[in-house]
Amino acid sequence: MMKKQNKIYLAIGIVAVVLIAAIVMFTDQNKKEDTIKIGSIGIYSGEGSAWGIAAKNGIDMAVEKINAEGGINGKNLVVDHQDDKGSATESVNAFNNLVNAKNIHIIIGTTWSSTGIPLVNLADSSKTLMISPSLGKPEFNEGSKYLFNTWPHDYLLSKDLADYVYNKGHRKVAIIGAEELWVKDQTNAFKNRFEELGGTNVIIVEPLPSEKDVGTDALKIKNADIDAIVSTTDGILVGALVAKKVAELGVDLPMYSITIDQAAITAADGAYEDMEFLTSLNPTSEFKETYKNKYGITLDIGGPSAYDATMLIAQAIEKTGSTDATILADYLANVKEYSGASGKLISDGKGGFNYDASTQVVRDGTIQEVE
Amino acid sequence: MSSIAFQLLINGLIAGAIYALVASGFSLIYSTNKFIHFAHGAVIAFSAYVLYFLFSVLGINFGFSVVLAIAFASLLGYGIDIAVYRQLRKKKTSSVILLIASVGLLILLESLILILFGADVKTIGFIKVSKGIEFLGAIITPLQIFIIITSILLIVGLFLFMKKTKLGKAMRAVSDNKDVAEIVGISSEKIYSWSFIIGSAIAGIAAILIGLEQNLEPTMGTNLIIKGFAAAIIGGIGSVHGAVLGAFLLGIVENFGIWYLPSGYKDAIAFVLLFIFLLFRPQGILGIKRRAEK
Repeated sequence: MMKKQNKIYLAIGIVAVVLIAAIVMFTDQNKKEDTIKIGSIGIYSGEGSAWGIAAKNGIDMAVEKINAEGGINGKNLVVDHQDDKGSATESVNAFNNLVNAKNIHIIIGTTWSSTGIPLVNLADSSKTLMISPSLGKPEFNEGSKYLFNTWPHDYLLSKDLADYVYNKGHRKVAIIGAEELWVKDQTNAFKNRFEELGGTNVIIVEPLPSEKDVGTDALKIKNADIDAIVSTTDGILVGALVAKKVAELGVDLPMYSITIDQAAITAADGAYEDMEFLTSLNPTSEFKETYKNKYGITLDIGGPSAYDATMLIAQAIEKTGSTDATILADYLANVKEYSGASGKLISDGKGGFNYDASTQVVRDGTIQEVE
Repeated sequence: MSSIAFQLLINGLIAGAIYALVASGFSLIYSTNKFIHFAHGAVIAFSAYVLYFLFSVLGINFGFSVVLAIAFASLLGYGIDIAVYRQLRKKKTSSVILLIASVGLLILLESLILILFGADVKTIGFIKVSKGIEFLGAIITPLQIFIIITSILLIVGLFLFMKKTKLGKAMRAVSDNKDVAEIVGISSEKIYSWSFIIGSAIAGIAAILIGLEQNLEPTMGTNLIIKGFAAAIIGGIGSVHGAVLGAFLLGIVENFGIWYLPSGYKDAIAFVLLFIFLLFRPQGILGIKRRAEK
């Protein structure tokens, strides 16, 4: 008798679970139709997360603004953030999770080239629109019609830096680089342009990004006949450690760099003091202030460009009335200019957007404009 | 010796001293427990973050913060032994399972650091960057001198501790033969715990010095334990003094090596040295000496 009763309870239980699941799925389906889902892939933890988190905040700010103004064609925008931790494997996993498991074909990311380049073919074959807010290698956006970039290419700024250093009167430099895909790109761009101008790259040190014992790299620089030091490592913090060791060895030469962020300045422990650098991070003062008020932290690389990437996607969806990645990619390919939080973005016709760089200097451990 | 060669030697000694600080505690734990405690790296990292929190965030006196960080390291090591390894030992698990547990603990503790302190790089900021002191044509900072001296004192201290004290002798007895040691009344469980307490206290000292010399990041423990482990194998796994010798050899070979090779080959140099030892002297530097003594 008890066994029969148990069976009845079990049957009622199963029916209840099935009914609840059906209601949840139905409600979720209705909810899905009221929203437009996009994804983001970035470095949200570990080295490089200063850029990734700034981008994540930029995306969230844009989404909040879009939804506060009534959404896109009446639908709210929802973003699914995925942390790739700066690893190519994690980046591919995050992409597969968004595209294959969640059917999201509009993604903002990735933070760095090392995590973005492995996604080029995947994005192309799955017809997934991606806009990177801080990736520097042209191979990303030039690899597929579905890929865009709201951050200027690394080599452009590196070439400008070579001109800047040469015009400052330096002819023999040491380069602090790193064994990292995009840092090598920056190093080569600087090196080639500097040599083209008539300068000499006396020595290049390129430790592994994870390296901590860099005393001998610093010694190589100390031993070289140079009149300036150039760092092409920006967000890779081993560059800051080399600079620290160079200072400990008593080398007192002018230092130049590109795209330095606050994390690198902190890691250098004072060794980056008075270093001049070129950067594409020149957001509008309005965006800078709003960001600071909202998050209570100084704006970093990726923030305004991720905001612009989100706004560009919203504009494309609104204008085309579609969320189809191919239609959106075609629309974005025809955007020639866009005034956003990063400044005036000008399309290079290959999926990349460029804007003016500025010269800044490290003073008292903070970033200041060069007068 | 030219000033360059002397500077390279100094650089090698500094690197070696850091590896030695990691390898000595790691090796002490291995010698008694007979399994590879990879989470030792995370104990170092966690203690360095504790120092950062006490000194840089709370503004507690540096000396007091140092004492608390070392005490924390000891307690953490002891806690790990009691909560995880002892439970596994009770179930008579193999060294392989203990090793897997240690890797799991390493990842768990690093994730905990990430949650508690965030992903960004931290600096303790006790010493500002300045030019080092000139010594026979080479330059060395006061902190680096302190790191080398501390390592040497630690080695001497450990040597005396193992040879002269009752606890040290008991540790050696358990290390040589656990069953015989128990017959003569030594509690192996107590010795295991003591090795974790002392080994982790050394990790705490390492954490302070490494934290001051380098920056802090959640995954720093993994990088440290890889080099510490390599040093321990080169020196002779299970021999604390061998591990220290291996650490200095590793540091010196790496630094002389990258003077001639591109910087990116540094880890390759370390592992080539490790492979050479594994192929031709698998018992490590002191392994031969110990066998000859026997």
